[in-house]
Parts: sequence; C-alpha cells; structure tokens
Amino acid sequence: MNDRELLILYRDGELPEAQRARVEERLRTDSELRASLERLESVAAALGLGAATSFEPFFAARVVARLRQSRQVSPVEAMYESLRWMFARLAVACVVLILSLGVYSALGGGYTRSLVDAMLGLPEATLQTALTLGG
Amino acid sequence: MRVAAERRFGDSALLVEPVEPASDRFLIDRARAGDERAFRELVERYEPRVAATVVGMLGAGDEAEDVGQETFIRLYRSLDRFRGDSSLGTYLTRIAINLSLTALKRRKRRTSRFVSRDERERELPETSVDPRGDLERKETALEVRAAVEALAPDHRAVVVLRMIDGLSTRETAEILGIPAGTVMSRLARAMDRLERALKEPNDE
Repeated sequence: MNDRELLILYRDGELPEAQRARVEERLRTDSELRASLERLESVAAALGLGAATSFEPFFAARVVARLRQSRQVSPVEAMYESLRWMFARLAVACVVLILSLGVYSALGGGYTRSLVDAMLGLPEATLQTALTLGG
Repeated sequence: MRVAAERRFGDSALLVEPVEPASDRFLIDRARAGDERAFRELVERYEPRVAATVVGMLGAGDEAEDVGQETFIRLYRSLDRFRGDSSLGTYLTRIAINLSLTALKRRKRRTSRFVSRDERERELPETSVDPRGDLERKETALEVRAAVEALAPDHRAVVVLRMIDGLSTRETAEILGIPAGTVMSRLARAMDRLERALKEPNDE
C-alpha cells in the first residue's frame, strides 16, 4: 500500500488502530506526508462542492408519471398483441385441421397407397395412370 | 407516508400524529402491492443518493435526469425480486452506477462521432450543481466537474462512490464487483490526477 492509499484510508477512518497510530506518528515527523494529507483534504473538499443532492424540482412526480406511461400499452402494441394472439390460435387450428384431414384420408383410402399419398388424399399413381396423364 | 400511532383511551381508539417515518421495508411492501404513494416516497427518500451518484458520474443535465428516472423505474420493476440482502440504498446505487457507466459508453460513441472537444467544454457551465453558491465556489465546482470528467469511467466511478457518496472501500468494491485493493489503487491514482488538475486547471 502506498502513502496515498494509506492517507485516504486514514482520512476516512478505515485503518486499524495500530496502523492509524503509526500514520499519526509519521505525520508528526514527516512534513511531506502532512502536506500530502492537506492536499488530499483539499481535493476531497472540492469534490464535495460539486456534489448534487437532488435533480430538478418535482423529480419524484416525473418518475411516477414515467412509470404510469410505461405501464400503459400503446395502440400499436395492443394491435400487435391481438394479432399475435389470433395467429397463434389460427396456426393451432390449421395444424389440427391438416392432421384431421390426413387421418380421414388415410383411413378412407385403404392400404394400397403410401401413407403420405393417403394422408394428402392423392390418387393412386401407377405407371399406367402416369402414361395416361402424360399422353 | 408515516406510520400513525394508535393510542387507546378507554374504549375509543384515537389516531394521533405520525411518530416515525415508514421503514423502507414497509414502503417496499406497499409499493409491491401497487401503492403509488409508497413508491413515490421511496423516490423522494433516495433521490439525494441517486442524484449524487448519477450527477457525479454524468454531470447535471437531461442525461442525468433520464438515468436517475430509469434507476427508479428499474427498482420498481425489480421490487418482486428485491430480497433485502443489501440495503435499498446500496441496491439503488448499484443500478445507478451501472446505468451511468452505460450512458458514458453511449456518450463516448456519440461524442467521438459528432461532438468536438470544444463543444464539450462549452457544455460545462450547464453542469453546475451549486446555483446558490458564490462565483468562486461555482468556479471551483466547474473545475472539479471538468477534472472528474477527464477521468476514465472506472476511475470516475470509484471517486464518485468513495469520495462523493461517502461509501466505504468495502461497499464500493461490492457495488462495482471488484476487489477492495483495486478500489484503493484506482482511487489513489484518480485523486492524484484530480489534485494535479485542480492545481493547474488551465494546463489541462
């Protein structure tokens, strides 16, 4: 710990008793250390001059007003939330509908086609039907 | 808001004059329950402490006001999570110093792009926080402000917490999340620079 740190701790009463006594003993004999402490005190006092103790008047009222404002939902946010709610449910409904149609098609179409064709309700594709469609 | 004392005389209960300010705990509980007046009282109670930290870090002005407000809004939003492990003052100071450091980073980016050093110096008179003082005190306050603003943000934070807010080395270390030894070495270097800057302000 250097002298500057030691003096800061001494000034603020953060030194243990024994160390404090040693600093005081040094201060009695060391004029440079005393001058250093005086300079430290003067900087600390100058810092105190610039210390603020409040914001502009009615600060608390402005904080509460901002809090109220932040709790209010804007029209854009409200619309966004409504659309999100609607589309989330619409997506679930679509998935359920697709799965239902798939199951219906698979069960109604027999087992001669692949499961995917059956679920999508596609007609049975053979070489013969392909040639017919192409020709 | 004060806690009213209830005194009984015979069968009747009388509400007498308030006897003591409500505790932080009481106000926090009320604010959590949605009592706006309780929250407002917390703001009024801790405004001096938050102002000292924020204005010390940023200088007075719109930016400090905004960070000060945001500090309390963050407190409100975290009331449910606040368990009281540290005092409310320490908790608020931690929020205030972190928001101030973020604001300084933003300011540095902005300043390096758009604002010249001369323009920054012209802003200094607005940062006076001692309007009632005499001219000499005001000038000293401005010199101090300029000297503090010349410090690096991490050194400035230590000076503000330790020398302006009056926190102990341990509290400062806890708030900044650094060892106490680092607090002291930063503080010693910062005080050294401040001393030189205040001795010869015109040379800076």
